[in-house]
Amino acid sequence: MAPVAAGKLTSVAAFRSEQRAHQRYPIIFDLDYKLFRRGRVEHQGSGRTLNIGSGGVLLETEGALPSGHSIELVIHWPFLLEGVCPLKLVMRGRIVRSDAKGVAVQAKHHEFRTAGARVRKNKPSEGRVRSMAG
Amino acid sequence: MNEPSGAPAILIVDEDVGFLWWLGELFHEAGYRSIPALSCEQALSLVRDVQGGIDLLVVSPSMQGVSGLILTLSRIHPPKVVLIQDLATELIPGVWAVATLQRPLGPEPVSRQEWRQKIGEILSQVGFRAAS
Repeated sequence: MAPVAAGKLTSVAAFRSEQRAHQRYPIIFDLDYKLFRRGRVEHQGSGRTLNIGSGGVLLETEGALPSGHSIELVIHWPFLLEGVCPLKLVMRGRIVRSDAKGVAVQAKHHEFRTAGARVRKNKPSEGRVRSMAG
Repeated sequence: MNEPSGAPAILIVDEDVGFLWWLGELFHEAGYRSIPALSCEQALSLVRDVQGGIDLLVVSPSMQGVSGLILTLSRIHPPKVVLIQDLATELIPGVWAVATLQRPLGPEPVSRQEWRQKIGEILSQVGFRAAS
């Protein structure tokens, strides 16, 4: 019986993942990007998201970006944690489409990072800075 | 754009980054301090310095380490819990949830107006009030 149950669980997880991958949320946040070619940064710039899903992001940038290239996006969470600690989402993936509707990026990896360092809110006079693991 | 100071803190933990940011933005818009985390481990590191503890935890029961997260948060300030549900009703053993929130599934676009209303209903069930 156990293998059957495990199989069912795998199917549910796969179905769940599939359903989530198609959903897009209309969230407009500022972002920075780096475009890679042969492992090197070819171009960098900024833009904004048009929608975000677990499978990827649709974004708009000032200039057109080429399909097929690897890209890294840094999307800034606009609300500061406790007023002092910026959060950012780092997403790496590939440009799968680039046209008048925007630049579609298929995500391969994403993670949250706290941005650099934060100052302790309750002791501003000491100017204590604690670096956060990215 | 700073969060509202002194507002209740809402910790949202979910592995779906789009849904996580969507909820985070909506709760912020409703006047709350929203803290998004992709995992329970990350949530614990983010909330360590949140003054006054977490007032509301919005979490998917399928997240790894969710019981430990609730236990740790409860030592500081027991949060009310809202469970994110998707395919079927899932529970966290020993945890009483004040409300559930159905995750949108499928390709149909989500409506901001509809979700503002959902968030308002959740806040009402929890005993909080939307700012606007």
